[in-house]
Amino acid sequence: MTTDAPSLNATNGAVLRVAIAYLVVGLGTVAVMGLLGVLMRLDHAGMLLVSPDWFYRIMTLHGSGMITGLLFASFGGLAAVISAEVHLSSRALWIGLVLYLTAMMLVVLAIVFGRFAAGWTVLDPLPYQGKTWTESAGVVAYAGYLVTGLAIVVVCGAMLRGTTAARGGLRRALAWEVLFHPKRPSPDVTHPPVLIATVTAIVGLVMVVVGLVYLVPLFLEAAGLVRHVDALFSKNAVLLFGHTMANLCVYVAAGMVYGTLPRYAHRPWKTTWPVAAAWNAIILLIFFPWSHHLYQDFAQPLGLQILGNLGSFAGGFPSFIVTIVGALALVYGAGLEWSPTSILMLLGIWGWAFGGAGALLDAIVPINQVMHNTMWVAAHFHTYNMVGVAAFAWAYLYHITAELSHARERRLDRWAAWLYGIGAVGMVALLFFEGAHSVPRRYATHDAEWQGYARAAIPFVAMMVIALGWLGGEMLARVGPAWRRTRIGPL
Amino acid sequence: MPSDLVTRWEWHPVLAMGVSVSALGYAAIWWRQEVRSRGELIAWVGGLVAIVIGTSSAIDPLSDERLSIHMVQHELFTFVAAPLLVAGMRPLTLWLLPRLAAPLARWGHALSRPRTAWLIAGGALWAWHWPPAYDYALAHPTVHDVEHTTMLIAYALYWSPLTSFGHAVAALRTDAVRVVYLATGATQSAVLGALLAFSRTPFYEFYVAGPAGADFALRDQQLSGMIMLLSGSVVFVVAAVVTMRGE
Amino acid sequence: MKHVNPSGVNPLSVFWVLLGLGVAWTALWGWVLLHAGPGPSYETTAPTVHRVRRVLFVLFLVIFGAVFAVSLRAYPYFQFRSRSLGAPVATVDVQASQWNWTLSQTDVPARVPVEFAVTSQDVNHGFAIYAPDGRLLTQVQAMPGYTNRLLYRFAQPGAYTIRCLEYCGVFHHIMLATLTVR
Repeated sequence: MTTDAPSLNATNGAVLRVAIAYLVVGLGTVAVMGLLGVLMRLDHAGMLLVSPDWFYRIMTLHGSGMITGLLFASFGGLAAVISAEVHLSSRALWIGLVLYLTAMMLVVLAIVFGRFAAGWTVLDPLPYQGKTWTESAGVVAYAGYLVTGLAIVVVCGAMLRGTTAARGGLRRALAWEVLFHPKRPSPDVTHPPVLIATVTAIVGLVMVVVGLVYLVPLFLEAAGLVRHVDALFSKNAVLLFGHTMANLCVYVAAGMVYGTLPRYAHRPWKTTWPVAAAWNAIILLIFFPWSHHLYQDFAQPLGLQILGNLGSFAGGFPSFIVTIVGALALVYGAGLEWSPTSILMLLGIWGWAFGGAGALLDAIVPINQVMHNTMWVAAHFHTYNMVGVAAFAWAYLYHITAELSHARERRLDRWAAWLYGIGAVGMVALLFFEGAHSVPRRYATHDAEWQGYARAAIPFVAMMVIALGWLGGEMLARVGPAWRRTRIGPL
Repeated sequence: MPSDLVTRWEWHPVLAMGVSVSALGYAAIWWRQEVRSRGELIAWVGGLVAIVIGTSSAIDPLSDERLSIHMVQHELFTFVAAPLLVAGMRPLTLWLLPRLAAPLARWGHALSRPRTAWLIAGGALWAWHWPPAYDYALAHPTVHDVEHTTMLIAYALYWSPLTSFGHAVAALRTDAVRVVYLATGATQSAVLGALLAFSRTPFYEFYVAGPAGADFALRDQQLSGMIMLLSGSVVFVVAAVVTMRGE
Repeated sequence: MKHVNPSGVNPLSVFWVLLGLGVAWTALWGWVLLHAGPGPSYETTAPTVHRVRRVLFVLFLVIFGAVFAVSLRAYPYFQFRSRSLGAPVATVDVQASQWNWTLSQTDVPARVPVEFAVTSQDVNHGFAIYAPDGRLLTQVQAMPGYTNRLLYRFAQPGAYTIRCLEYCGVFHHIMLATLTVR
């Protein structure tokens, strides 16, 4: 496959359609959740007060909707990227979408009608002991999470089947010939997006097993078959699942970057030894940092705390040294084609590193002592998500809709991409600043002395809303023509 | 009570006759086809069995005592019998269509158009669950029979565009529209289920006035909402798995 | 009034470190983007990139290793703090519940190690002590079925605020208490 090969060929039209559906549904959810986020911050700014009950329900919806929306949008984008060289089952992907929509419906109903507000992290025992919602609302929310897990299984299963079949086995799909025999020239090495799809599919499947380990005892508890679930056990289980899921989003989204940035740099991104090593290492490394969420649970065994610390540091190696440096090396001297796609992807690369720095600082245990559950935490994951995963996903949706609809890019689109970057960076910098002033996270109301932070962010949020409004509108207008184009035949 | 569900049966003559006739009639038509599909026969028979269980087992009298059992009964009609009958209906439609008066055939086609079918099913669901209507049906057996029959037909219409009957039924052609159709249909019963599951007052006078009292009626109502919400999700996911074709 | 605790970190200093890293990173990133026009081929730059990666790998190992080793001495866990602060002079039993704090005493002595034995009666809460100037000084999770022991030495007398720092339901944000340090 050459660098500039078109996305649509004779066989992948059906997969491109379902992939576009994933991107539109996922990013549409992100957009709506973003507006809910604006509502939350206006409440923090003291400008639009919301009742605590509604605030925490909105907060729960915002978190769960964002994470799953970003994950599924990214899965869709990655599926589209690899579909030109890997046969994927569009039927399986449509079923995955139905599962995702069913899951979302259950969670939304639990929140809207059941008043469920335990936060997207659904940390036991809060979902069953909310006091403002019934245990059955917790059960429905957990059922939604279970169905999300099933959706992930279906999607990851389809990806893994596709990549291993296309590459002639798991070892080749993981580029082990490069990893273990670097000196031997291999003529036909698995391309990075396919490697990444394989890696993330494996992680996704293992991660769902962890999720089941968390959920099954809780369903049994609701059914009265188990009297009590240990708090430390459930905290470890849900955070191993949740951290991995959030982290997975970034890696899946990176797959879109590996597959698309080369098109604008007019240079291939090859599966070199560092790439093969980094992505294979991620299969293990992604499962080590979770305990950094439990640093302040002094009951956690010290060994696991240290694992969380070192595991968090270790995650920086493949991300920065291989992917982020690799992206920069790709565009240096490349004669880069500037477009909203390349701009947003490079902004995402910036954000990944900056968010990573904030995260690694927070992963230092004595620092975490004075940062845990302050806005610093919210700052770092909003950086990863807004100036990272979301940037990558918006970039890809823009790319695929433009390519398929033969739309001409407008100058204003590039300005909008930069505006998004400025707005997002300003917003997250202020969140870090707020966290450094010990403002707690997940508070329905902010004291008067804290309200300034949310207010100062208003111009930056406005920039993001304008930018995404413009770019989103462009993308939405092109989805129809792009969709229809997939039925006609190769580009 | 659980043992009742197995041992207590009451046969309604008209229904028994109707089921027997349709079973035998279908079997005869099925047998005379050039290409027979065992799956379709099993589906049709399965649909009839679901109707029999829903109407003639202890579920029927128990549904007068508990909303949750009544919910199970309705789901037997709408989520089990209706889709199964529709899945097995092809031989019947192929045989019936040429023998049917043209206006009737046109009507059938019009009613089974996706948008119409969707509206009819949603309308039947909400109309019959409206407390005055629901209570009235419970208090008047004939109306109750009409309720069950109309719900069965309404949902049979709902499931039919998901099959591929070609000209007999306006089928949905792509997976994308099937997803939209299923998602929007599932949302109806899910929202109703949620309203019941998270309700804080009992909605149906008939059960409040029953022997077990208002407290029990409320708890049972919440249970029936959970049944609707959770089993409904399963049904729609299964429907997706069965009907997605990969285009 | 600046509060100094031997095992405390100033979060604002951490922010300046992040900002410094951010500026450096942005400079590098910006420099690459400014040179994204046509230039040397990838084959020409590849050896340099390889060298950069090797250097970064060793640098990360050294830096992260050093940071880990230094941070280990300041771990907030009981066994670490008692080594530097000594045995507790006072013990406060803390029970967290939705949505209030029950403390066995609300007055504690300054300048000596104080132990907080923290547990929850229902869901997870977060026992966090804020200085009068609004800075978070120390925290520990309040877990049902566990008692976590937090050791802390208050450098200055004053009125300190206890906030809940683990989301616990609708009144999480007003689950407050006052601790008087004399």
